[in-house]
Amino acid sequence: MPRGSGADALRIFRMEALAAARDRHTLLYAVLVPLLVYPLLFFGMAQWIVYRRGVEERTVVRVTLLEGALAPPLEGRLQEVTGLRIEKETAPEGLLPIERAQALFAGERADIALAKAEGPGLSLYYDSGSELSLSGRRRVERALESCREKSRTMAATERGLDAGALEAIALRKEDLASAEETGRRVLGAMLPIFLLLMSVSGAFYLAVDVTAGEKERKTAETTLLLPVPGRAVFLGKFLAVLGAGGLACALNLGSMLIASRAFFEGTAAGLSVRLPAASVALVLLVALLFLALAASLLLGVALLARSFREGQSYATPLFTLLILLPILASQPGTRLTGGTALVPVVNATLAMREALEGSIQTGPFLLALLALAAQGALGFAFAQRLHAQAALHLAEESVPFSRILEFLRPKEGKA
Amino acid sequence: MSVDGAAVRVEGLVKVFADRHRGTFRAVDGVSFECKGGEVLGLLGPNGAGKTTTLRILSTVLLPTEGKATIAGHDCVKDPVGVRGSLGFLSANTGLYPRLTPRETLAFFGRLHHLPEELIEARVEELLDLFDLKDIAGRRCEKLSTGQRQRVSLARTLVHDPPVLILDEPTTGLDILGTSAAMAFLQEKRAEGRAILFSTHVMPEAEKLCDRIAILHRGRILATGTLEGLRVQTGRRYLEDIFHVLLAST
Repeated sequence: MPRGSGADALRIFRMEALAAARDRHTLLYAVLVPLLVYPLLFFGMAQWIVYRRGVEERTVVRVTLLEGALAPPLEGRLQEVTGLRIEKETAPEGLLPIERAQALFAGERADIALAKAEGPGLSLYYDSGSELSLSGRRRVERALESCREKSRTMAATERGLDAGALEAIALRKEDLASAEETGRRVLGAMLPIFLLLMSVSGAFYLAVDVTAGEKERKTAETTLLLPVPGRAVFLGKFLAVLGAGGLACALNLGSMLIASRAFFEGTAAGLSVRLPAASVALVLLVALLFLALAASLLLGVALLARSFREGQSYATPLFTLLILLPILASQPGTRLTGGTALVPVVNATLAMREALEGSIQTGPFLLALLALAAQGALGFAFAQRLHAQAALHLAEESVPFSRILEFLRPKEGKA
Repeated sequence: MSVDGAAVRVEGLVKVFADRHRGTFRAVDGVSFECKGGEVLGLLGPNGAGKTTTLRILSTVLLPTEGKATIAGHDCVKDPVGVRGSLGFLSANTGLYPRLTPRETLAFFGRLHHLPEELIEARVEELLDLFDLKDIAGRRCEKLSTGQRQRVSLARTLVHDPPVLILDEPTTGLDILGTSAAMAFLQEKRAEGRAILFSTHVMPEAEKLCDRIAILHRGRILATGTLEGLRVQTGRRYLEDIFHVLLAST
């Protein structure tokens, strides 16, 4: 049998990984949720869009034309639009159009009202508090725009002109970014938050399970008695937690790429969601370095608790912080600089964004990697120091955060 | 496996705890004893006497404040990994990993004790046979009854064939049959030449099994000797009465 701390740590890692694979909570957070979140989300969104479209098509909006609002051709065009019921009203004398529209809405007799404006054109009255009214507004606007376009084209053709020449300022917009670049920018804006969230979620349950959970199951002393150095035991557990978080991250990234290709490519969104292998490798490297810090802190904090439930309470504030920082760092305009590259978690978010966008600035990116590695090493040393205190494993009561410094000093009773 | 001479040697062991509620207190206060191969030494005492702390120091989980302890020649402070490799330790707090099966548990401990890979399977099968665990070898430990778990735990302590066994109240939670089986197991291991340190507060078990008995109270050993010797010393026949006489004399 191979000997040494590294080989022993791998044996402990394999045991923890096997145990974790048989635990439904770990499977849920490290495998199922990261894997299924995007297909379910995109499928749900697609279904929702289809459903809303169907609902909109089935809904009849009442449009009241106040006296003389539309010329007969326009009125005829509106009559052809599905889902619009056109009614005309002859108004009582002395009321302004807006007052007549308000009266109609108050009596729930119309959802949209159209009136001739005082100058040229039309006034469209709607109620932004009513979904039906907003839907009617969109449909009327589309119908009128179509009529306007048709009239302009006909007028231009009669005079032998190009219809575009009738525009005061003809603006043609052209996006120079490729579909792939657009796709990567969208990924860069959204994905770091999801990837870091899933990584921490994947690591969270196992970190609490192998520390506070051990105490609750009365296996902490069994582990202390393993015939290997304490650092090998800690390294084995750390690798298991890191592995769970890394697995969650890799599955989430893979799931995102596959699901978004299936749902978005070839659609009107015009996105091409493809990442070069080098970008994927860099994203996973950043995630692992981030997870070294996250896993260490979660292991250290949960070790203070006596039971699994308490461990969750202890680790939840840290978990919240680890997912809030990426959200804050993802604000538009935040870039990886010499300063932000040194801020824990923020550096991981921004480095991941650059790797996803393909916009890596070599200096700040390398600095972020170094800072992440150093922060992970510090976190590891902190958690290993706590783990080496047998008193924490044998404690019959939870240890408050305020006493954490006591356990970071060298003292008797090492695990 | 057996060792010559004192397999367990404890000299002037002291353990001081700084407790937030009780202040500083000496859980173990100058304890000394020896246990040879082929001998069962019983540690008797009420709750809080210092038995568990003493055994935790011997198992290297806790460091002593003062004194020295060796297991099969390995110093508990200087060579903790060597001590754990020479020791089979069982207590109410050394539970089994619930999501592993008995077979996986035994193989895991065999590997960590660096048994040659080609021997592990044979050793695991031998122990499964010995403790009548074949039928449940593939069932997760969390699904086993208390008695079945205790048998797996006993098998676990023997995977690496240690010369010293330390058993802290090994019959807790066992029914009559389970207790008898555990007693028979200990007698068998003694016959094989192992040193057995056995902590209990069940007096008949100690009377039946122990070659010598050390009585602990408030961290100190009140008396050590054979059952016959303690009878002579106190003028009482039953261990329970002997215990009370010794306690009254402190």
